[in-house]
Amino acid sequence: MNLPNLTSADFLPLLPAIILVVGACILLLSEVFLSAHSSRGYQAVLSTATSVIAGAVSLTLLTEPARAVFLGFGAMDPFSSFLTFTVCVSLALASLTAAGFLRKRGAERGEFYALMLFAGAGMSLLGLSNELITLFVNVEVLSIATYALTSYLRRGTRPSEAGFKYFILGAFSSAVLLYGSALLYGATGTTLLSDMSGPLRAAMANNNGALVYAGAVLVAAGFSFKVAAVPFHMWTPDVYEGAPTPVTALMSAGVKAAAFVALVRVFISVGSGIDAQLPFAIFSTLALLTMVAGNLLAIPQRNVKRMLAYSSIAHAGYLLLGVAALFVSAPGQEFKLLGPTALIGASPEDVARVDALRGILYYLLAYTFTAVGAFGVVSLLERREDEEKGTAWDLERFSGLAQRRPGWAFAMAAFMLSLAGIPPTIGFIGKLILFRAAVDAGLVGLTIIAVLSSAAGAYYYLRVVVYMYMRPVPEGAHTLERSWMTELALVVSTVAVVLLGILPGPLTEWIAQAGTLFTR
Amino acid sequence: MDLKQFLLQLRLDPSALWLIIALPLLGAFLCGVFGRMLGRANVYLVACAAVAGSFLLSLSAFLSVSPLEAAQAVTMENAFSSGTIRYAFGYDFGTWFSAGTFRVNFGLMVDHLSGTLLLVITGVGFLIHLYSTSYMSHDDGYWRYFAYLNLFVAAMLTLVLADNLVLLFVGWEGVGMASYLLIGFWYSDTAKAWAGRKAFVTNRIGDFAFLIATFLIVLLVSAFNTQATAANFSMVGGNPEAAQVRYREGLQMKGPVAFQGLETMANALHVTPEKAQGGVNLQTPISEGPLEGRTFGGVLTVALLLFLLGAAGKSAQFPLYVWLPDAMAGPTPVSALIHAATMVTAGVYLFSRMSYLLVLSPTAMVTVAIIGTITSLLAALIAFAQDDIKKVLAYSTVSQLGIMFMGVGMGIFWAAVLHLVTHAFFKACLFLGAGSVMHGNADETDIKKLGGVRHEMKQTWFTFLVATLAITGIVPLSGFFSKDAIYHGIHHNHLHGYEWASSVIYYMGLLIAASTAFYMSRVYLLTFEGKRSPEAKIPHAHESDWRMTTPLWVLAILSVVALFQALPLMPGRGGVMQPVMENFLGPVFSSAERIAARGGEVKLDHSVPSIIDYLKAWLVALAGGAAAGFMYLKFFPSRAGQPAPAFARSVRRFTQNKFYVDEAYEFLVIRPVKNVSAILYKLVDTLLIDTVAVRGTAWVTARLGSALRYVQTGDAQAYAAVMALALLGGAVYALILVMK
Repeated sequence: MNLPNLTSADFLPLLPAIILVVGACILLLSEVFLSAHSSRGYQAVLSTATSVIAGAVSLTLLTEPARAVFLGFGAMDPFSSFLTFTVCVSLALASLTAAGFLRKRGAERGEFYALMLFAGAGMSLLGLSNELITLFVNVEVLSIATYALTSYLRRGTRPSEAGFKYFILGAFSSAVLLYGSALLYGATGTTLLSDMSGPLRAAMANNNGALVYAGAVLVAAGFSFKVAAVPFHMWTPDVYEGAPTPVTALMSAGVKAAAFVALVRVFISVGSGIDAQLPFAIFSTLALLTMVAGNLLAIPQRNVKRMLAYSSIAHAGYLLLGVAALFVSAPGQEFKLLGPTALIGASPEDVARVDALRGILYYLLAYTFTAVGAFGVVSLLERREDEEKGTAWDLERFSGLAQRRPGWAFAMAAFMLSLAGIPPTIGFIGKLILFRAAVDAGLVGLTIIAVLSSAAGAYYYLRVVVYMYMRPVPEGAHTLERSWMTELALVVSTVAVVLLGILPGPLTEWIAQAGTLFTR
Repeated sequence: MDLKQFLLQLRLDPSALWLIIALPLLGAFLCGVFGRMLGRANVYLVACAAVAGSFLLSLSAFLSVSPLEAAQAVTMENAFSSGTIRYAFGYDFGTWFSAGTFRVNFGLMVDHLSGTLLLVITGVGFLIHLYSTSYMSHDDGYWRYFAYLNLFVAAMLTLVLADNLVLLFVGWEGVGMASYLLIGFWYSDTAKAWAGRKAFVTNRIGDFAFLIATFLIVLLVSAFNTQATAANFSMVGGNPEAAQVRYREGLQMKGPVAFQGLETMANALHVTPEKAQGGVNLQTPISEGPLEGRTFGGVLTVALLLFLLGAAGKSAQFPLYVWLPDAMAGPTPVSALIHAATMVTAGVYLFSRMSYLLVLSPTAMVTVAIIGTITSLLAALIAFAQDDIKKVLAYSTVSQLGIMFMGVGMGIFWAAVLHLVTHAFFKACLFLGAGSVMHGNADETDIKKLGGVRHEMKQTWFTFLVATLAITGIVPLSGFFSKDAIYHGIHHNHLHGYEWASSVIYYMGLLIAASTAFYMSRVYLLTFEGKRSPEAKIPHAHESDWRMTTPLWVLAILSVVALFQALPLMPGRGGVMQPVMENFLGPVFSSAERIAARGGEVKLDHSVPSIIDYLKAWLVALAGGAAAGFMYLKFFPSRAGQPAPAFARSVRRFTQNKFYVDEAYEFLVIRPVKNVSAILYKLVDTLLIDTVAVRGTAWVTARLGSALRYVQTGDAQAYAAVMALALLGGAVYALILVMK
């Protein structure tokens, strides 16, 4: 039996994931020694610390040159390292949020944090998967962990309903993804993404185009489910509402970021072998539907958690606009790969494409800070007793928050402004970079629709601010319990949202490095 | 000796420059957020300590760029050319924001110009903070007041330290906002709130022009970058090709709005085609972009004129000066700091900072000078008949700022900056003195209802007298020298094509000087001399406490001591002795000098005023003062109620009503705008936008959203079916694509 000759350099990109898995194992094992009444405060701290360490490691990996690892099964590039960083940010913030959330419900268990860390490891590995089977395995690693997390609070009907729905529909989409991958393998004879462009061209020439196209469409559909693109979004509001709020935060930020990065990686490879018109058509259609429907559906919502779910769909739409901008190509011009080399003498289209890649990364990080923070405020306000009645997340809960908890209200206002894309917040800068890249790529019409639909979005975001600052405190409002861990997450997110909105410079320069993607 | 050694060692590391801004900003945060919790004494302490700390840092920064021994002078690498900048240091904190090739860095820089202003802002600022602790001792909004005041200092320091136009604009807007907040500090009084609004709106007009000007400069720089040839860079120093490469690198690194880059461009732009030898000159048309076909010189002139409009807003110049007199609604220390000593001089600073661009356009220069002259004369005449002590000082400030603009416009930059400094001292002293008078007389501001205050408020009286003598230009006070240096420069500098300007503006200047002497003597005499008015609110005035008088003494002493800055003590070029300030600011204005000498469009003179000039100016000041003395002590030493002679009354009515400028604005600008906007509001806003566009689309959107909701049934099978249908659609599309 031939064992591949792996060096330590091959394991370097796995380091953040390894750290996360080790942390998860410690959490799982230590749970064995605890009785039902033991204090479990350390668990959130450990989980957060693990994520922070993994995040720091991923930052040091940003400067590593792009290369293939594990015989081409993985791609070590700044693109995936930056994703790992984003994932770790969302993990750390979600762990802090979970501390307050679980304590209030008496449901603190090591398994919860361990599952989150396992999911995070899956996301990190998904980002660097450069091979269809590895990709699928990692999709499942993160999916199964999130299925379990969704129905973690077993009391009541909502969590189990949400978990079951998520599992059924997730299984369906996994099957679609796997089927698409199989078709691509059948047409090309390889599962390595970086080897695919040659065989794809050959397949197209040999009248195997139908097989390739069907495979590409199926893979796109599989990812569309994960990123919650319309019309593959219908599970999102039900699952996001039913899942424990910290898990919702992780799903809306981390899972989505990992799925986007994997989607970009797959389609840059596949798109180089086929007519770029197909991915462009798919993603521009999805972007259009997702932006418009996401925002429209959020408008009538009075349930803030559900509103945030629809808002996360709308934001996926803006990101899809960035993805579509990657596949714009002038007629007759061959789609070019983005190499790890610096773009000296690149054509304007190439520059626009790199800008779109950077825009996607910036937007993902911006959305992570904002959305996790917003769900953090929601988790502070909700009470278990109201969940069955369905009023736990009603807008009324936010009435007069500015008088009762000015700090929370300020943080939530910052998050809402950031989601709406109003300066001086990180959300504004994210939209600016992303939309500018789309305009430079020539997607003027779609960008106008994106701007208009985000303007419509300001309505439901600002409504929350209106309730917090301009409505009186309702009579008989229950007391608001504080949790320093969750509040720490709010402080970190608020500072990031405002500071990076005023001083975007350092981060944009950082991302300028991360915009390189390993292709061959 | 020990002190000297100590001062020599006192160096600020460039990377710590941000602390100068951060300290007052932190103070503003602490006072604003925790002010009520901290209590009065702690707020005083925090606010004063923040500014004092900033002052010490500024002092050390100042000493770094102008050490006592010339050998220790720092130099700074120039990002845009191979040379170094002497007597300056700065630090670039990296990208602030960037979009494509456009970028703005967060860079701070100290040279002799900004160093001088740093000391004025933090020094006078500290004195006024100290004064305020007594002045605001009865006000419950003290924490808000000190938060705003600290915020102002932070913004003003940003304005001065910025090494690029955009960061400068941040400070520019910041001081505007702090000024607005402080003018309307007593916002429950509607008139005062309106005064704040007037200041804000008037400044908005100027700021808009400033922004457009900045955009024009950005376009100009990018056009220059594409069109310039190596021939252009022959004057920048070093090998021309290498200099051009270096300039491009600088643009990439620091962006198009950095002052160093603008200076290099100004040095490289030739004035006439003959001298250009194929390089870009002021008459070269721009080849591409939105400014295609316009010449470099034309665009530059338009940009500078727009900057003038911006500066006119901030520095209260004609036609945008109307907000400043109303701004006296704010607390008096605020008037002293913001509306006399610092913020209103921002326009003068801006033009001094960009002197190298200004000397490329005689048209822009002469416009600046003429606007300054008109403003100065108009304000001086209005000040004749104002009875509110603060209003007189406000118009006097407008008038003095006009003199600074005259100086800048005629190319005598160093004297304008010197006048800025001396004016900061004596005008702050006058305002604080006025505040002290008001404080001791139950907030009486009408000078006709005061009088004889001299005997009860000895310290206030003496310091006010010193400052009055300084502003009227009596030897040997600082105001005399700085004003006279400006006048001398105006008389001897020449702008190509506008030779008449030199003498016209000079003689107008003498008239302004006489008027200044007249109205300042009037204020002084009516307030402090004579007998106490029977209409006074309280029978006896009382002197203010030490926290108010100490700043008065310090400022009065400074208004005297500052005169040495204008004495010709330093050896200049050709062995001629130069005034200290001219020598000191030499490095800052060296590019302007060089460009003027090379182009020949602007002739800058370096002679020193003779005794005759001094005598002339002195006589003018004495004549004005004597006239006021005669009229108010001998001819009609009247108080309110006693009729003045008929001829005086008719003139008086006109000036008292400020030449009806506010009314003219009301009639020509405000009312038409209001009427048009009322129509637009009814027709466009209410009907079209509100009813049809906003409510209509909102209604449609909301209905659509509600309708879409019905699709969301909660049924997992339905969800899967929708997904399958979408998948089918995709497959069909792919099939069509293959078939083609």
